[in-house]
Amino acid sequence: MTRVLIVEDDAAFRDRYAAILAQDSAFEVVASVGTGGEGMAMLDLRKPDVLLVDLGLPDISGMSVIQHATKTLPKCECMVVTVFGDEEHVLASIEAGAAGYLLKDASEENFLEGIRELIAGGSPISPIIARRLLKRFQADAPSPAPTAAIAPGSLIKIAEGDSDIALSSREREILLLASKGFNYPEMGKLMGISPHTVTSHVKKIYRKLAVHSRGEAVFEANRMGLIRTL
Amino acid sequence: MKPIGWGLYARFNALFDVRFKLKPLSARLKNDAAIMKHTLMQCAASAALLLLVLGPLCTPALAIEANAQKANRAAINTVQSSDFRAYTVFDKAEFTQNKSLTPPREAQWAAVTLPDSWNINKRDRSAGFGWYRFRFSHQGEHHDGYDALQRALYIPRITNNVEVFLNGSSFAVSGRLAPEPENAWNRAQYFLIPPSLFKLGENELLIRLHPDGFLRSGLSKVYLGDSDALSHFFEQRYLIQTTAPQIITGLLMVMAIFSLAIWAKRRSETMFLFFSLMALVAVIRLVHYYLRTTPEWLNFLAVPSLAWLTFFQLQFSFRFANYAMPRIEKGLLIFTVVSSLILLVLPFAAPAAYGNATAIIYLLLTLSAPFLLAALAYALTRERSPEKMILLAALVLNSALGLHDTLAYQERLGFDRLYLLPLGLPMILFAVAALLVKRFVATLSGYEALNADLARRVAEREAALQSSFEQVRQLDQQRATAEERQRLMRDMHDGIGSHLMSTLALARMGSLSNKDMTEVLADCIDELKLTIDSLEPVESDLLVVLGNLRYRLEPRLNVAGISLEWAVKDLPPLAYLDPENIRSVLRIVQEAFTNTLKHARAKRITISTGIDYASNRVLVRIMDDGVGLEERTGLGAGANQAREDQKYCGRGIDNMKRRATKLGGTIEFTALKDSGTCVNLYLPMTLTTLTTAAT
Repeated sequence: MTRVLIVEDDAAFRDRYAAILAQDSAFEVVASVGTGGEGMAMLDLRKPDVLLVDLGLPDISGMSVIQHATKTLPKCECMVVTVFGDEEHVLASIEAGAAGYLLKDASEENFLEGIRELIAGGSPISPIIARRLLKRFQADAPSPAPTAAIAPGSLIKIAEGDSDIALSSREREILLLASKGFNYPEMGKLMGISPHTVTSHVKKIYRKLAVHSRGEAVFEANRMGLIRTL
Repeated sequence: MKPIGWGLYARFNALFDVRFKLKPLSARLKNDAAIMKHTLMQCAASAALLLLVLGPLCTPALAIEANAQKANRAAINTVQSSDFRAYTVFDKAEFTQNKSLTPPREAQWAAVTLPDSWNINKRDRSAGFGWYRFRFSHQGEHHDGYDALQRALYIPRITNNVEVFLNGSSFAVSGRLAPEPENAWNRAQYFLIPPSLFKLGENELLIRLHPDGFLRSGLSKVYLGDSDALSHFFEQRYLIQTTAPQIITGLLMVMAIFSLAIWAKRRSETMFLFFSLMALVAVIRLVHYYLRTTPEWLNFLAVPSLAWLTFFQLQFSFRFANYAMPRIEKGLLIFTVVSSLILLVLPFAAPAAYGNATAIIYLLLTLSAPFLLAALAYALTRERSPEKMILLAALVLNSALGLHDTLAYQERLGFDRLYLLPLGLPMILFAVAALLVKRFVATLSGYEALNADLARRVAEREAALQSSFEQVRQLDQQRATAEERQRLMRDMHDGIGSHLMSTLALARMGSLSNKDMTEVLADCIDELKLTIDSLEPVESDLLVVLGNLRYRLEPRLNVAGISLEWAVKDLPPLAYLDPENIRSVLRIVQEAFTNTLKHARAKRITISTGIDYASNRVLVRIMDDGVGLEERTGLGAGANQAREDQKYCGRGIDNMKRRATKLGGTIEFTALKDSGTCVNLYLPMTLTTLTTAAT
């Protein structure tokens, strides 16, 4: 039984999510709240397995709720529900610790499929996001400086060979293929691995991005105007 | 050598100046007052300078004479062995004339007072040598037959040479006596006397004077006594008469070369040329003060050189004053050239008249000197500056010294009077040096000021550029924002806006089913997503654009039971892919998808990309396995629906064609052999192709 917490200020959406989740007996909605504060309280109280969170909450940013979740519940999978799935919002969410995202207008099948994939260890990726991630990691990878240095507007430089946060060649290949529009099954076929492996690679990339950008998360998020507090 | 100056005292200048100016300026009385003021100030300056400069300068010279007068006049015969600093001055002697080189035995001796000027006393030079006899008694102590003191003879001036005898024995000559006698007219004489020549009791000193044919002849007072005391007098006089002119010659030469070099580089500044020439002519005259023998050509040049010196000095001074009096300058030039020609030709044409000609020319120069000095004083005081005042002072000083020397030459100031004119020449050098220093400093300051000014102007320009850049940047930003807004507005208006409007109209009429409504709203959201995606900077990568569209649409295709095959190949970057163009591409492809989705009943869509090398274009191909374009018309539920479909399809295809043309590309629709449709979108590689194709 997967315990799901819904944090969404629009009651209609809350109800829709709950209704969709109710179709599958594998899911249990442990709480459905309308503010970030309540969301954080429920995180502490109910300790859910999955967090579905809207970014535009009335009190605090959804990003803060995600960060609270990753800090206090490392095993909790966070999913952002966005209107457009645009890169700014999605990337910021991933950097905050989200493992995936859902579109608000997704069909019921797609919605459930997305959550199932996430729990199974996979994350979705769009070509534009793949391209963004490639560029971001490329900017850091060839850095000759062995020590970390933070320059304003730039990312934390990554030590060469640091496998925890540097991209592996396979991960790089996945991002490259994803940026060309290939889906997971196609990528798996091209690379000779299963689609499931591909999607778990993507999840790892997301985690690396979260670790990677934790140092500049404050700066970056502030620049985007997406979060007010951390 | 005739040291005639070119000037008279400055106070005369004032009178000359006034008269000189009154005549042509009688109508302009106001100017006269100014001139008078100039003249008076010049007088005051001259007087002050005479006191300040001439006084100290002449002091050592005059002091020698004064000391000599006040000195111990004790006769040598009264000298005690304890008094070693004793000498006696002979101002009386006995004189006789004959042509014998040996001391005369039987002669008529006549008493004379010293100094004895042959000109003043009208002695006959043709009567032979002049003999001067001095008697004195000597009671000095002898040690082993020698006098205990070294005694010397010092004579401030002789003209032109002497041989001296003590007790009948000759012990010195002043210079070479024959065949060509050396010049000793401006050279003090100092002879050590061999002690053995002194006798106890009466002694007799004889001086044989060789008069000069041209120069003045005569003998100054004669000093006899302790060698130390007399050598002191001698050294002082030697310094003024010989060493100082030698040093000044060197100075003049250096300055002449220096200023000639300046003129060589700056031809327009003739001041330096004239200064150089003036210094060179001055040297020609100056060397006669101390050279014992002068070459004949130098003597020859020395006579006309005074006129040239005056001329060059006038030219130099006018240029120094930055003023011109062409008539005076021209007049002096004519005089100088004519007089020089006369003096150069006369020795060959009429040697007898040479002396008189020289005298007349010198007299004319002397008489003109006050006028010239007044003119220069006027020129130099028009616009005051320190270096001009130094030059004026130098000119006045030199005039004064020239007057002094003229009077000395005429023996109005004593036979052994020193000539001082050479000492005044460096003053002119000071004026030039002051001018050069001033210019140098002004140039440096000017450069510094210029640099500062340049730096300031550069900073100003920088600031101006910065602000104009800022303005341009802001304008650019405003323009970009405005364009973007316009684009988005057009988008809303043509796309989602009209879509919603028509849906609203249908909904109001109640002719819209729930399913249709959902479909329309989903379309609207797709439209929005497309707009948002088009804003992402993809940096010319068409695959990302297409891939993202696929990512958006695939879930809906899957729901409709259509599988999508993704057969893309890498494409070269397309630099013209800005949001607008991206959207055009997305629209075309989306339209193709929509057509297939709605009307083709396809099971499979294949998207492939590649390069059409024949036309050097990028190819995007959307292929389905549904019914062909022609057949689609008949697919509707009824005839009306069919027409609607046809209309819709036709409009969609027109839109796609229009957009492709706008991108500089083309679009082709082909029915496939078996079943299905192939849409080929050709896009140009570069913007140039785009523009060419568009026009």
